[in-house]
Amino acid sequence: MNRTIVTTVACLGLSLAWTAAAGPPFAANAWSRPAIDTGVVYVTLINNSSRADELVAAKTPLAHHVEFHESTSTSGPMGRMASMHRVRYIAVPAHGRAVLRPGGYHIMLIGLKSSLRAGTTFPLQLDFEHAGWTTTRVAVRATG
Amino acid sequence: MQLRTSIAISLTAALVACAVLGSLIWTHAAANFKSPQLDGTKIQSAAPEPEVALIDEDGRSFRLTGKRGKEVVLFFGYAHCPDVCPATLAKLAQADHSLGSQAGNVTVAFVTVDPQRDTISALKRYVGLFDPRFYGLTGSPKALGTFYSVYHVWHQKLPNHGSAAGYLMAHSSSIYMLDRDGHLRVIHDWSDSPAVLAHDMKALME
Repeated sequence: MNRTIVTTVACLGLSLAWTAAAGPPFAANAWSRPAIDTGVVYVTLINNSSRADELVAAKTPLAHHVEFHESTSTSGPMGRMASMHRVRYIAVPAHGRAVLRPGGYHIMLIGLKSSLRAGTTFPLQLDFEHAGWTTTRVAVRATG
Repeated sequence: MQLRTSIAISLTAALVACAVLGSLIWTHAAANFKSPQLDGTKIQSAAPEPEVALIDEDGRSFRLTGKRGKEVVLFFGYAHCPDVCPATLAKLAQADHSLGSQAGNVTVAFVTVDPQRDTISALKRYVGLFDPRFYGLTGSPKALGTFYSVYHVWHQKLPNHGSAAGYLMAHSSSIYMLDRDGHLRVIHDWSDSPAVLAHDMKALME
């Protein structure tokens, strides 16, 4: 009887641990900068599962529109030049991660309903192609 | 007698050699001491800054010639830019604050490449996010054009790829540092660290 309970608990524990380790992609270290009309979110998307996924949509109550963009930098005759274009999704490889950071992929908040102040946080919902919606909190930082 | 003469000649030669070597070392050391050791791309520009007047975030006239005696840092961008421009202004604010008692001694100015959307009030709110001492500059198409051409600033309106942001801009992402005489001395890229930027801001002030 005792042995059955121990085994059941152990199995349950193991399966929970397995779910946590190989669950849907999750967001870590989401941060933003002070902004008035147009804001940004940088975040690390971690995928511990064996299935590749894609970030396909995002929303926050603070902005009218949320899009994904990529900044690129090219060398020209007069120094480096920065450019930017919209992307429809951001791939998160199986057992891998996608790092959104300054000068690369970023989440763009367009038409902010209220300005972003340093020291505050706000919610951001992320929609993955396979895993569905998840929510994270974004910290607004003055530096970085 | 001959031996004495040759010893005297040798000694004199040695003394002259020492003096020449010594003065060379001294001159070299003095030269190093006088010219700042800059980390960025060094520019030997004798060309003066543009004479034209831009308009600052309070609607006042802004001339670089009016900033003689102060080092000036210029960056060109647009207020709707969410990534590279705010990253650069945040770094410049960090670099400036790290100068301690010398913080605020360098004039930092953000010049718009998007005068169509960057109104005076929009620029004031935008640069104020980073440091209220920063200038946000716009101006007539002619005045801005002169600024862009003097610093070889390239910019282009990008086609709207279905973005709710309207149009986006591609633009030069260099940071230009001018000495107190208005000469462009060193160029950095926006991706350089606040420590590197602070180093050259400090070097120019010494």
